[in-house]
Amino acid sequence: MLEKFEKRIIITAAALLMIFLFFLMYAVGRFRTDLPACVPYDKAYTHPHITQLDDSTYQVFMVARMWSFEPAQIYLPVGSEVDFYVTSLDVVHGFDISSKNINMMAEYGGIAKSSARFSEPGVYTITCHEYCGAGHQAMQAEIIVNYPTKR
Amino acid sequence: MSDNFKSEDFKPVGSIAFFILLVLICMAIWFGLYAIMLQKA
Repeated sequence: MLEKFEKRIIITAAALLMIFLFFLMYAVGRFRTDLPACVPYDKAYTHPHITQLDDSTYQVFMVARMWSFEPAQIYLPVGSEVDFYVTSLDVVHGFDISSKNINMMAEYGGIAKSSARFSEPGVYTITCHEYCGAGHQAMQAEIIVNYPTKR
Repeated sequence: MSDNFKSEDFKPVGSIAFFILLVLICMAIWFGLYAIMLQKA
């Protein structure tokens, strides 16, 4: 039914596609990639703030706009577990914490949620990785994780 | 290629079917991931 060369091309393309999908799923398993959650939109999420639920659990409500994140600096103690809720006030922005495997999009009218645990001290950079205009290359925020000072 | 085959007789039936199959697979992947993201909320 199929012409000989067409059949060969289709088989070759299908084989390459299977190889690609295999390595994609391998990377998902290897790096424990997780999907962000789609949270129903509420205007309350457009007010940037940080909420502490208990000693080690925080919620960060991040708002992206051209060309900054708010809050721009987040201070957290070592060992804290954080839920990030991100939205945008204008165009689509990216929200990427590469060392924590968090990769989301901040979209106007939508809320994306992802979680991470910060068990090592350091400075974690939040980068916008979706082109959003002239200031896109400088659009960053920081999460500073340190041991809490003893009082 | 058979001696009776003529290039003007060729119709890309297999290619069209493969393309439709790819579109359906992409739709399945997209809606599957969308459902997972909604369920996580």
